[in-house]
Amino acid sequence: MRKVLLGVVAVGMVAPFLYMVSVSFMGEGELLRWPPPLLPHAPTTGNYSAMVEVLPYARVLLNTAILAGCVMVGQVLTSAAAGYAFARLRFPGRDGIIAASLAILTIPAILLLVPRYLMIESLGWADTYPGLISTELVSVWGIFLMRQAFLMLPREVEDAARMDGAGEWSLFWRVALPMVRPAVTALALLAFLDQWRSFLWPLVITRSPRMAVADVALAHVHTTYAGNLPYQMAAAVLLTVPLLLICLCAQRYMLSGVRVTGASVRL
Amino acid sequence: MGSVTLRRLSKIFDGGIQALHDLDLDVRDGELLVLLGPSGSGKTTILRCIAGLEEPTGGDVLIGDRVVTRDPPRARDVAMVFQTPTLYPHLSVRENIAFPLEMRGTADAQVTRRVVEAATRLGIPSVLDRMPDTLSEGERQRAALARAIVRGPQAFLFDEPLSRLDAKLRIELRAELLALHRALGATMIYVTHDQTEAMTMGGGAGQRIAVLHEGRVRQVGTPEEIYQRPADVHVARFVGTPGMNVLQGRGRGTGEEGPVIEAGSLVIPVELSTYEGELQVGIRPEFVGLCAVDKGVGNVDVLVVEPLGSETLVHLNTGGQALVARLPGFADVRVGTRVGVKVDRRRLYLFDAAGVPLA
Amino acid sequence: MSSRGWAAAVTVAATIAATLALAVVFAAERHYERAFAFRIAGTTAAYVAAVTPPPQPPPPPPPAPRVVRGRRRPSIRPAPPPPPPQLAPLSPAARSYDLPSLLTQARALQTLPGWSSDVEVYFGTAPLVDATAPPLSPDDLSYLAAAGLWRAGRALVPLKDRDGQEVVGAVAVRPHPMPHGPLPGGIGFAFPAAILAIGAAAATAFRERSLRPGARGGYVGAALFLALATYLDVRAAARQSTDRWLVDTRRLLQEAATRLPPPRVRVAISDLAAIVRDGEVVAGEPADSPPRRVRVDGERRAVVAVLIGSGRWVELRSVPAELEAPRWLILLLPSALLGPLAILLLRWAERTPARLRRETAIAWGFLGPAGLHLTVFTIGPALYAIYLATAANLPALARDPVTWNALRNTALYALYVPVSVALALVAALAVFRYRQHWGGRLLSTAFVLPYVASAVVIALVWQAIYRWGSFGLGRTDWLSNTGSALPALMLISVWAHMGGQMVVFLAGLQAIPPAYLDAARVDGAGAWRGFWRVTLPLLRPVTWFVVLTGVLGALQMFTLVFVLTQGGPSPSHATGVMVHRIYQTAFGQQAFALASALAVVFAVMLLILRWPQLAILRRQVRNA
Repeated sequence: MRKVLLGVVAVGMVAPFLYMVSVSFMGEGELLRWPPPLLPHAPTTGNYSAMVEVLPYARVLLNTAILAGCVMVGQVLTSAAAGYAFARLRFPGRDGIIAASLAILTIPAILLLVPRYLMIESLGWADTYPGLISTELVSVWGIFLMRQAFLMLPREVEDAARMDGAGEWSLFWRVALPMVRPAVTALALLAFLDQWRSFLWPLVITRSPRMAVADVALAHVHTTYAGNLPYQMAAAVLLTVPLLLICLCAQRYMLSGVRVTGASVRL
Repeated sequence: MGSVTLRRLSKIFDGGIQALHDLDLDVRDGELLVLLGPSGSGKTTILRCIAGLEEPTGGDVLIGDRVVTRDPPRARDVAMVFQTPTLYPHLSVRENIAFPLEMRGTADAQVTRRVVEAATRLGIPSVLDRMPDTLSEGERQRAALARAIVRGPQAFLFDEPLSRLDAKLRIELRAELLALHRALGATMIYVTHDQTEAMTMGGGAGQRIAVLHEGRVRQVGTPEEIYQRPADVHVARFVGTPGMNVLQGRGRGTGEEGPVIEAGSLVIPVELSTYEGELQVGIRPEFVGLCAVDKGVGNVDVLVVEPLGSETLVHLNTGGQALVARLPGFADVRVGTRVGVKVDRRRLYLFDAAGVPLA
Repeated sequence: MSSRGWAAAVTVAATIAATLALAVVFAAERHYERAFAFRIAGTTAAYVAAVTPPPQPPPPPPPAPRVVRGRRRPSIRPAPPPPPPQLAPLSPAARSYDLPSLLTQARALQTLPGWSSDVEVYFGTAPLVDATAPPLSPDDLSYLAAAGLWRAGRALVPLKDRDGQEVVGAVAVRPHPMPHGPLPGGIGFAFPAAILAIGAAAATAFRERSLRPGARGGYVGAALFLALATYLDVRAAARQSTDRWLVDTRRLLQEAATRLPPPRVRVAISDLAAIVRDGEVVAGEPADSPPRRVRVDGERRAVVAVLIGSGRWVELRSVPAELEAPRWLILLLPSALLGPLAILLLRWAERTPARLRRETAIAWGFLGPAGLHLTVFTIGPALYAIYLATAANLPALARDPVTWNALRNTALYALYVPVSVALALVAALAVFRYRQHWGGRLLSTAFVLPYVASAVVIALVWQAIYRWGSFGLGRTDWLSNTGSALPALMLISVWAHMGGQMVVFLAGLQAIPPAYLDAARVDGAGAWRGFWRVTLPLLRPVTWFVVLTGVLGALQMFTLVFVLTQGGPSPSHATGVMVHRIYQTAFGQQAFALASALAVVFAVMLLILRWPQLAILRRQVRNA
C-alpha cells in the first residue's frame, strides 16, 4: 500500500514533464479546445522539425557543449592545482590566502554581472566564445572541494613517492591527482551540468542566435512563439534530452559525486 | 653501495620540540644497523632526515662521501619502506614496482626485466597485474619491498616495516629481509621499537644495534654488548624483557656489615669502597630471587604474579619502587603476601644519579 | 642561486613587468581607436540619413532583395553586387531613401578632404562606395540592430531608415592608424620608459650583486616612471580619439551644410545637432582649427569651431575621452610595479631555506592560474562594481518604491524554502526506507528529474500548465494575476528544488551510523521517537546547510521571473525580485551605475546570510 503511494507521488512529480512531451506532439488547433487536452488528438512531429531548424538545434548544442566542456576542463585543472597547493604544500601566507578565497565565495554572481559585462564588452569579446567562457574558468568552490580531497591523502604515500624519485610535478600529476579521482569526476560533472544549464551570463554576453546556448535559445523561442505552446514544448524536449542522456551516462559518477560533495558546503 | 654518516645532527620541529640532539652515527658500507628505541626517541626522525623527507635543523647527513643534507630525496639514491605498505592505489603491482624506475627515466625494456626480477626475488611474480587493494597484507609489504629494491639504491631505510603484520608473517618476513641483506650486501638501516626484532635483525655478522633515547644515541653495539654492558641506565631499562630493575638508592660506606646500598626496603651489601650518596642500582629480573621473610636483603610486597609457563614474573613493591623477579617454571607466590628478596651480588649494575655506570 | 642568477631573475622580472605595461598601453590604444571608429561610424550613419532625400515614388514597385532580419532562415547569400545601375530596383525596406542620391552621398564621403578613415556604406548587404568590395554577411546585418559590431578591423554600425526604425544598411569605418605620441615620429613615452626601467633593474642587479635598499629604491623610481609614461600614452590616445572625432565630424557638418536636402534657405543648427547625437552643436565664434579643451558650466568639454557658411560659425562640443583615462591606471600601476614586487620576492627568497623556497615557488605556480583568473575576473570586477556604484544617486535609490517592492518580493519568495526542505526531508526518509525497493528508486529518480532539468525548461513547462489551465487549474492564468503570480512561482520552485535537497538529505541519512538507531531501538524507542530523538538531531547540520543554501539560492532567483513574468504583472511589479531588477536596470535602462549600486547593497544583505554558511565552511577547513 505504502509502496503504491510512493509510485503515485513519483508519477505526480514527473507529470509536468510527461505533459511537456505530450503537448510537444499536439497540433496548433488543439490549443483552442477547453478543457485543454492531456494527450494530443492527432499526434504530429511537425513541431520538432520546425524547432530543429528554428533553434538552430545543432548549433545550439555545439555552443552549449563548447561552453560546458571548456569550463569543465578549466575548472578541474585550476581547482586541482590550487586545491593541491592549499592542501599539501607549505608556503608563507597560505592561511591568509585561504581566508581570502573563502571571502571570495561571499561575492554573489549578480554583483559581478555588470562589471564583467563591461569588461568583456571593452575587450571586444561580447558575443564570442572567449567572452562566454573566460569568466567561468575558475571556481572557488571547486578549489575547496579539491583541497578537501587532497587533505584526505595519507602523508606516507607522498613520502613514498618522494623516495621513489618523484619530483613535485610527478607527485601531483602521477600520484596525488589519480588518487582523488572521485572528487575530480564529481567536480567535472557538476561543472559541466552547471554550465549546461547556465542562463544569466550567456543571456547577457551573447546576442546572436548563432552564439546562443541551450537555455538562451529556449528563451528566444519562448518570446518569438509566445502563443505556440507545442512549439515551445518541442524545443524544451529537444534541449532536455541531451542533458538527460548525459546524466544517464554519468549516473555512476553522479552517485559518487553526491558522496564526495554531499557533506561539503556548496555555496 | 655506500656508508651513511650523521654528523652532529639536530632537529627542532616547528612546535619547538627537539627530536634530535647533536647526534653522531656511522653506518658502515654493507652493514645492517638496527635503530632501537621507545616511541618518541627520534628514530623515525633520523630515518626521515637520511631520506631527505625532513630537513635537519643542524648538522650534516653524508651518503658515501657526499654531503646530502640539503638535497631532495630524489637526489640521494636511498630507498625507504614504511610502516604501512604504501602502494599507490591507482597503479597495479607491476606499475607500482616500475614507478621509481620510470621516475628516473629508465628504458622500457630494462624496466620490464627489473620489475620481474624484483618481484621474483620477493616471491610475488604471480600478483604483478593485480591492484593493491586485492592483495593480502603480506603481499602488499612484499610489493613495497620490491619497489624499494628494484632500482638498487645505495642504502635502504626500513621504518618499522613489520610492526603492522601478524606474528607469523612477521617472523617469515624478518628472515627474508635478512636473506635479502646477505644477498644484496646493501647498507640497511632498520628502525624498530621491538627489541626481540632488534636482537634478531641485529644479531648476525656485521650487524649492530643502536639504542636511542630522547633524541640521543646511547649505545651502539652487538646484542650481547648492549645487554651485558649497557652504556647507561636508559639502555639498561629498555633492553631485555622485561628490562632491568633500576632502584633509586643511597650508598653508605660505613654500615655494620661494611658498605651497603639502601634502596627502598632493601639493604644490599656491596663491594663499594669509593662511593657514597645518591646512586642507582640495577639488576636483571632473572637475578632476583625470593625467600622467606627476613632471610634476604629485605622484605617486599607481592603485587602481581604472571605465570607464563616456562617462567613466572613476579611484580614486587619495595618501599614504593617497583621490582620484577623472573622465576623459572610455576612459582608458588601469592599476591598480597610479604616475602624476602635475594639478589646475586655479582650481577649488580651501579649507576650514578645521572645514569652513568660506576666503574 | 648564484648572484649572477639573481641578477638575471631580476632582469627577467623587470622585463615581464615592462612588457605587461606595454601590452596594457597597446590594448588601451586599440580600445580608443575602436571607440573612435564606432563613434564616427555612428555620426556618418546619421549624416547619410540626414542628407539623403526620400525617394521619388517609383513607378512599378519591383520585387526586391529582402533584408533578412530576426530568426534566420536558410537564406541565399546575395551575389557580389553588380555595378550601381543594376541596384536601381527599390526594395520595400528602402523606400525611405532615394537610392541614387544615397549612392552619390556615400561616394562623396570617399572624397572628403582630411578624413582620417576608410568608410563604406552598405545598402542592405551591398557596398556602395567600393562596389567591388565583398558584401556584408546577412547575419551581421541582422544583429546590427542590437549594437555595433567589430568585424575584420572595421566598426560596423546600423544605417536606419529616416524614421530611425528599420535597419536598412550599415556604415563601416576602418580607422587609419595614427601616431599620437608626443616624441618625434609619434613615438609614445611608454617604450623608452620601459627600456629605461629594464635597464635600471638590470644595471643595479648586476652591479650590486645583491639587492640593497638603495639600489631597489632606484628601480622603484624607474617603475613608477614607467607607470606614469604609460599613463600619459594612454591619455594621449584617449585625447586623440576625441580630437579625431571632432575634426572628422567638422568635415561632415560642413558637408552637411551644403548637402542637406532642400527646401531650405539656411541650414539650421538643429539640423546639424540631429547628426551629432553624442555631442552638442551650438552657435559659436570663429576660432582656430585645432580642437581645444574648455570648461562649459563647470564641466570639461572638447570643442572645435566649425565654419558652416559664409561667416557662420558653430561650435561642436564633446565630452573628452581622457576624462575616463585614469581608470586604466588600475591595470597600469600593478603591471609596472610587478617588477619591484618581484625584487622584494627575490629578497625574501635569499633569506629563506631552500626547501621552503622551492615549495613556495611550486605552490605559487599551482595557485597562479586560479589566482590570476580570480584577480582579473572576480576581485577586479567586484571592486569595479563598488566604484561604479559610487556614481549612482543613492538617496533616489532609497526613495524608489520599486526597489523596496523588489526587496519585499525577494524575501516573500524565499519563504518557499522551508516548505520544500520539509517535503524533501520526507521524501528522503521515504526513499531511504525503501531504498532496496523499486518504489524507492522510482521515487528518487522522479525527484531528481526536476533537479537535473534546466530552469528555463521548468519555466516553460509550468507556463504551459498555468497559461493553459491544465490539470484542472481553471481558466484563470495564475501568472497574470497580481495576487497569485508570486505564489505560482513559489509552487514551481518547491517542485523544482525538492529533488536536489532530497539528494543532500539522502547523503546525510547514509552517513548516520546504523548503530545509533539500533541503540535507540534497544532502548525501546519506536520508529517515530527514533526519528525525532536520533535521526533529526543528527541531521541538523545537513538541515541547516540545506536551508541556508536554499534561501541564498532563492534570494538570487532570476530565470523564472525573466522567462515567465518579467517582473509583472505590471504595473504592480508583483514578481519583481532583486536580481531581475538589477538585470533590468543594467541591460534594460543601461543604467550601469544604478545597477551596480543595487547589486552592492544586495550583496551586503546576502553577506549577513552568508556569514553562518561561511562559519560552517571555515570550521570544516580548520578541522581538516
